[in-house]
Amino acid sequence: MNSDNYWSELFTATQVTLSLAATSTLLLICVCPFIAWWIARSQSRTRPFFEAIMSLPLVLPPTVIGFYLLISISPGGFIGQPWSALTGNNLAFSFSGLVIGSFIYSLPFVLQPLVISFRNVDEGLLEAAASLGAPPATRFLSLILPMQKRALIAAASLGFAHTLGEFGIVLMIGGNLEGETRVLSIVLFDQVESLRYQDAHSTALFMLALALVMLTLVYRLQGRIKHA
Amino acid sequence: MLEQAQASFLPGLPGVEISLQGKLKRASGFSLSLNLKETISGVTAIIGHSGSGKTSLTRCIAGFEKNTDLHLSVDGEVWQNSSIFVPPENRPISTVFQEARLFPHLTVMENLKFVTRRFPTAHKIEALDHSLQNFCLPLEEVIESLSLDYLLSRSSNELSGGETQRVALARALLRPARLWIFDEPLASLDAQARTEIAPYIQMLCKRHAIPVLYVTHNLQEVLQIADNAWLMDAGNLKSLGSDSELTRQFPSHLAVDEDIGGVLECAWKAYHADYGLSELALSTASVFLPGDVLQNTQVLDNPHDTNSKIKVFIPARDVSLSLAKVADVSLLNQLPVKILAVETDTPHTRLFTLDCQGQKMLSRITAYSASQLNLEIGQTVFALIKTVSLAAPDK
Repeated sequence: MNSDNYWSELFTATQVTLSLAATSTLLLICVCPFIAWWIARSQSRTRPFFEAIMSLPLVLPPTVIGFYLLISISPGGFIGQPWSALTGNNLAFSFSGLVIGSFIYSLPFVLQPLVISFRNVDEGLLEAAASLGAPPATRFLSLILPMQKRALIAAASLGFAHTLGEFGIVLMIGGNLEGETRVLSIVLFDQVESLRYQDAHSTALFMLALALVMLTLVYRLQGRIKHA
Repeated sequence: MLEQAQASFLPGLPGVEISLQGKLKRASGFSLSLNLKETISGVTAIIGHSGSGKTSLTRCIAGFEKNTDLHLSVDGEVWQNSSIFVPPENRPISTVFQEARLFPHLTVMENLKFVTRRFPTAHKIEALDHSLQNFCLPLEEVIESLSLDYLLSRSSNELSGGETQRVALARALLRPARLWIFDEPLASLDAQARTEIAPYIQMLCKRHAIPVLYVTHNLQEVLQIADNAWLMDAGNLKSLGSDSELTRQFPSHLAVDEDIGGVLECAWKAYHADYGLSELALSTASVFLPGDVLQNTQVLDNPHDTNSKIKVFIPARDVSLSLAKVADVSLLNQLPVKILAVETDTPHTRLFTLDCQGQKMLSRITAYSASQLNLEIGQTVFALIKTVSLAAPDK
C-alpha cells in the first residue's frame, strides 16, 4: 500500500517536472539553433573555446554546476541580484531558478545534434538561395530550419528527456518545495531516504514508463517525418 | 554571329562591363590569377579544361568567393575589394548551377515563389524592356515558356533530371538581373535530359538580350549558343571571338576525342520533297541535308522563315579530302575548299583547317592519306562530306 498522500504528491511532482521540461526545452529550442549555426559555420579562433564552455555540462558533475548556479542566483549573486531588482522575487529555490538550471544543464544535449546537422547543410543550396536574392536571415529561417526539421525535433526531445531525469542541479538549487521545485526525481530520493520503499517502487516505475512512452512517441514522430 | 575575333561586345545589345583582378587561392593548393576587363553582351562561352578555373571565375563574379584578394567592379560599380564586399544576394546576377540546387523541402511552385516573394515589385513590371537595368520575367511567362504547368505541385525531389534543371532555369529567370551565369547547366544531365533542356537554354538566350556567361567544356554547346568565347587556360583568359576562330582553337586546347568540327552558316534555298532533302546555299555552292529544315523548331530562330540563317555542323571525322571532284559516288556533299592549315592532332591523324566559300571547316584524315595525297597549304581540294547536321542540341 502506498502512503496516504502518495498520489497527490506524485501528481503535483509530475506537473512540476513536465512544466519544467517543457519550459526549458522551449527556451532551448529558440536559442540553440542560432548558437549551433554559429558553432557549425564559424571560422573564428574563439569557436573551440565557446564550444567547450557549452559542452561543460556534459562532463562536469551536476553538483558543480549546481554549486556555481546557486551562488549566481542567490539574492546577492550576479543573476539573482538584478532578477530581484526587476521582479521582486527570489530566484533561488524557485521554479524560475530551476528553469535556468535546466537550461544550462540540457544545453549541450540540444546543441550537439543541431551542430552536427548544421555542419552537413549543403553549402550549394545556401549559395543558390543567395544568388536568388535571399539574405542570410532568410536563408536561415526559410531554408535551414525547415530542412533540419528532424534534427530540431531530435534535439528538442533529447533536451526534454534529459530535463525529466535531472537530479543533481535540482538538489543544489531547487530545494524541495512541493508544487514549486519538487520534481519526480527528488520525490523518489525523499522516499528512499525515509525508507518508503513501496512508494519508491511506484515512483521509479512511473518515471520509467513516462520516459519509455515519451521516447517511443519521439521515435514514431521522427519515422513519420522521414517517410513524409 | 560576330565575325571579328577579340571582341565580346555586340552592338545594339545591352552590355555589362566586368573588371576583375586578383588572385584566388584554395586550401587544396589550387590558385588562380585573374586579370580581366571586358564588356560583354550576348552569350559569352567560357571554355577550357576541367580544373582550369572556369567555374571559379564565375563564382568570383557572382560573389561566392569572399575571403580572397579580389578587385571586382561591374559597370564601374565596385563590388569587391579589400574593404567592400557586396554579398551575392545584392548582386544583380542570376546563376544556374550544374547541379540544379532546388530546395528539397519545397514544391516546384514554392521554389519559384521563393524568388518572386523577394522581388514583388520587379514582377509587376509587365513591360519587359530590354534596356531595363535589371531584367526578369513574370512568373506566368516563366511557367509557360519552360512548360512547368504540370509540375508545379510536385515535390522538388521527385522530378527527373531534365525536369529538375528546367525548374532551376525557371527559378533563375525570376530573379531580376543584368547578367546571367550558366555554369555547365547540361553537364550533369544524361543524353536524353540534355536534348530536353538544350533547346530551352538556346531559346532563352536568343529571346532575351541579357548578357550571359556560359561555362562549358562542350564544343557543340558553344557553337550553338555562344556569340563569342573566352578560353580559360591556367587562369589566363583569352578572348576567342567568332565560331570559326573557336573551331580552330579547340583542337589544341581540348582533348582530341572531343567531337570537333566546323560550323557553316548557310541560307535556305529549296526543299526537294521527292527526295526529302533540303538544299542550303553556301555562297555559290549548295549543301544538302535530309529532312525539311524549316520545320525544325528547336534549332531555328524563326522556323518556317525562308530568310533564316541556318547553321550546320560538320564533324571533322566525317570530312574526307580528294584532289579532284569524285564522280559516281553516293555522297551528297562535295565542296571545293582551300587548305589553310594543317596540324598533327594525334600521331596518326592530321587535322586540316579548310576555307570553304570564306567560312572555315575542319577535316581529320589519317597521316597516311595526308602523305599519299601530298597535300599542301594553299592547295585547292574537294571536301567529301559524309554527314551534315543542323547545329542541333547535342549529339
